[in-house]
Amino acid sequence: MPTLPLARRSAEGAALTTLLILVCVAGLAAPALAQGRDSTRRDTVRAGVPEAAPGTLSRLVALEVADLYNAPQTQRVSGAYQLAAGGQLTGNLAVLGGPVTIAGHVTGRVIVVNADVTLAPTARIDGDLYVVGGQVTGRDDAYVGGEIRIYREPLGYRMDGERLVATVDADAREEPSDEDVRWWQRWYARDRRNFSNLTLSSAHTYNRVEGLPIYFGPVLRRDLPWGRLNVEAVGILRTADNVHWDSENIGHRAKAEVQLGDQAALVLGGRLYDVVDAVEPWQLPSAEVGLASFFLHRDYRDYFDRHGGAGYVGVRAGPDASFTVSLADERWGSRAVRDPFTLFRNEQGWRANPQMDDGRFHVANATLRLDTRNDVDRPWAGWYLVADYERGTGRVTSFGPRTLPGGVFVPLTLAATPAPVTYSRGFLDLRRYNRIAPGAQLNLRAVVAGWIGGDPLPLERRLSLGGAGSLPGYDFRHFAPGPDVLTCSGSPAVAPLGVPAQCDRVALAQIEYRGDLHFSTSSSDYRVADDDEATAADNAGRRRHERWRFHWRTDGNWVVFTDAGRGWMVGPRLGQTTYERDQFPALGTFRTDVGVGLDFDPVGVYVAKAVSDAKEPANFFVRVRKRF
Amino acid sequence: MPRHGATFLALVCLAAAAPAAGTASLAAQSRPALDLALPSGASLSTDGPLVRAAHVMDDAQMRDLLRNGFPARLHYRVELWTVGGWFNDLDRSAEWDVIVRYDPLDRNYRVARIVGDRVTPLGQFTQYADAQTAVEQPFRAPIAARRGKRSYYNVALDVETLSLTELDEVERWLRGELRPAVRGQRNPVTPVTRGLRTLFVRLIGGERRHYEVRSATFRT
Repeated sequence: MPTLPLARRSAEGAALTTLLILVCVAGLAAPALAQGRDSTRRDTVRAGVPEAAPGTLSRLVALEVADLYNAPQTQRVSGAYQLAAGGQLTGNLAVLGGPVTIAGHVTGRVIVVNADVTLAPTARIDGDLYVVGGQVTGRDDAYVGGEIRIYREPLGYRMDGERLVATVDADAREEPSDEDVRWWQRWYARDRRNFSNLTLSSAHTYNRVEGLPIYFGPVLRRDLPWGRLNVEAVGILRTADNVHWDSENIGHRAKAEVQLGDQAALVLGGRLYDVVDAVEPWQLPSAEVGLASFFLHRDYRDYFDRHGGAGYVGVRAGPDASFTVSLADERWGSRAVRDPFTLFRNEQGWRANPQMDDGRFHVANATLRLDTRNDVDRPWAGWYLVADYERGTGRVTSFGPRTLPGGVFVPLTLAATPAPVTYSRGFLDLRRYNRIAPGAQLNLRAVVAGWIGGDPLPLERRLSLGGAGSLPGYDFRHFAPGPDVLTCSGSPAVAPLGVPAQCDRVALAQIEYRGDLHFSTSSSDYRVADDDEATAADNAGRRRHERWRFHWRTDGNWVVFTDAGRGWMVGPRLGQTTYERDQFPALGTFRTDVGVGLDFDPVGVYVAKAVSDAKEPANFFVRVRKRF
Repeated sequence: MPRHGATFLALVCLAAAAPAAGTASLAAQSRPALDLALPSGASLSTDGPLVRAAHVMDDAQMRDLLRNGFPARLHYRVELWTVGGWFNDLDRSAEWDVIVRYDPLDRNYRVARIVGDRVTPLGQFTQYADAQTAVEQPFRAPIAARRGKRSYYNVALDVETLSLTELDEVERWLRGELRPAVRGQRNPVTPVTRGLRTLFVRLIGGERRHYEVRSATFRT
């Protein structure tokens, strides 16, 4: 998402922009603010209780009510029942027939079958109130702590000793009996059934070499006795240059995959593709890059063309873990920057898309993915790990412009005969999310990646740091004072056009602490203190006494974070930019920043300040969803 | 920041804020909320919390989508967290869905709750308000705390309209919002701001509203 470096602008401009950002965030956050992320508010549930129309008492409801009536530790009564004011019944109450009048206190649930219920203002039911074949009067003044369900349709039943048996076919208990239930079951299971259809969707991103990629084509899925078959063949149409029909704007993506097993499964598949891929997709999600490109005319990635095919085999252990090995035969090519439409700054030029190393490669990958987070979008706890080893062999027909250690610029080099290249590269992204209190979390992330062996990495496989996705205290592709340890491009004078990522290795550590953001808003009906030792009974009592006081809302998070990282080249030791293959740079050479932010899910606004370079101005930036 | 940059930000703000502003007057009366109530002290280890969503289907867009054949899905996830040691631990969780669809032949709304493979129809309603009431019916989560531990519940609700593709959205936007504006029947700014907002939410992965609520910590 956009980084908005305000501090290097004029004070007036910064003030104006700050104001606008605040207004913007308020606007974007308004729906989220209205979402009721209320950590402490507890309310009685009595309004809006539906009363199903006569004739709609379903078999499932009948069975459920019978189960509740027969539940152990329930006091069962036949005929009229009355609980006087001041009286207390401990546990659950079930009444068959009636009528029922309650003015006292029932500590459990109340089930009333084929009878009306009258609740006095002094009545208090801590649990649920279920009424079948009757109605309830006085519920607006009485207290019911649990769920209220009222069915006017009477329950058909017979008694088997003390046991109430609903007069429905017991054998049909698991079988839906009416068309509506069957429809719901079919509909809900639609994703698990076989299907084939035509899909039309965007790639959920937008960039300066494609515009908006649009996918169109058939998708097929079949459940077979031995597993599952997934096939898709979609064409890609890119909107850059007004959707002109040429090879630059046309691509494809086809996949056939066989899955043997369900939760634990063996997966075999193959892919054919002609796609535009990002050099470093790990820093920012595609959606944020797309937003920044379309709205702000700022593209925070570089791209290259991948055309070829791949086969893969993998094992999956449920949705949380997988290990995949793949082998691909691809042609890599440079992509020139286009001029896709942007909503604002459309008259400005784009940052050049750097020239890459063009050639044909055989690429083998082994990828381990582990994800135990409780929620992918809003994780509170769990591990996230992606570890990838890649070995590539190929022949390069042209080497893109690059900067050698020592600040030597090497222009585009066309190989007389394709030059053989063999490299290996590793990538590790490890995150841990820790909930340290109900409203606070401490999150850690480490990224270590880069060259492992062989020839120097192709430009498509180089790395960099800086920007909102890694070191937000430093601008994206910005040259800070001192040795360039973020892009490894030396200086602006010797950097290739577009300032590509050129580091052989990078290391990054991120730590953030998130806490609930509390607003004291308006008076409300109840308040429950956030007392760790409070019991539910205590809360219930306190709730009565603190009526009409202010309640506290949790509408977002405040965030404090720090990041440290750097990149380096591998080779004969040279200053602080190049290290031997078995050396790790001193921690004192790392670039660090600190920052704070307000996260109004899904949009957060942050400010980060470089610590290791005091003269670097603070950066304001906006992120969609979490930083990592 | 350049002047046009500030202008851009202002427009984006307006675009983003427009839908919120449109509902601001209603917000005080019908603010979307997710409520959570713990069972009584004696039942804490046997019963789950009572969960209820309120006013999450109030907006006209949701109603419009439903009437045009796009079912709405309310996905609930209740997590039981335990307190102790350095970190809070996720003990267990439970999930269920409430689905709303409109049957154009019968001209009624149908609501059902789905827990696991079990479907519980909550009724058929000719009035949207009645369907809303059924959707907002409280439900006791099928989860309970363990004895002897300090715990709390975290409830998350995601509200989304299903099967809405980009093509559907563009078509609906052209037919339902842009055309009246072109004919002068509606403020021309409205479709533009809604379009920007639509683009925004589409780029970040679709329209899905998220609500979250947490109970106080309790000991069983």
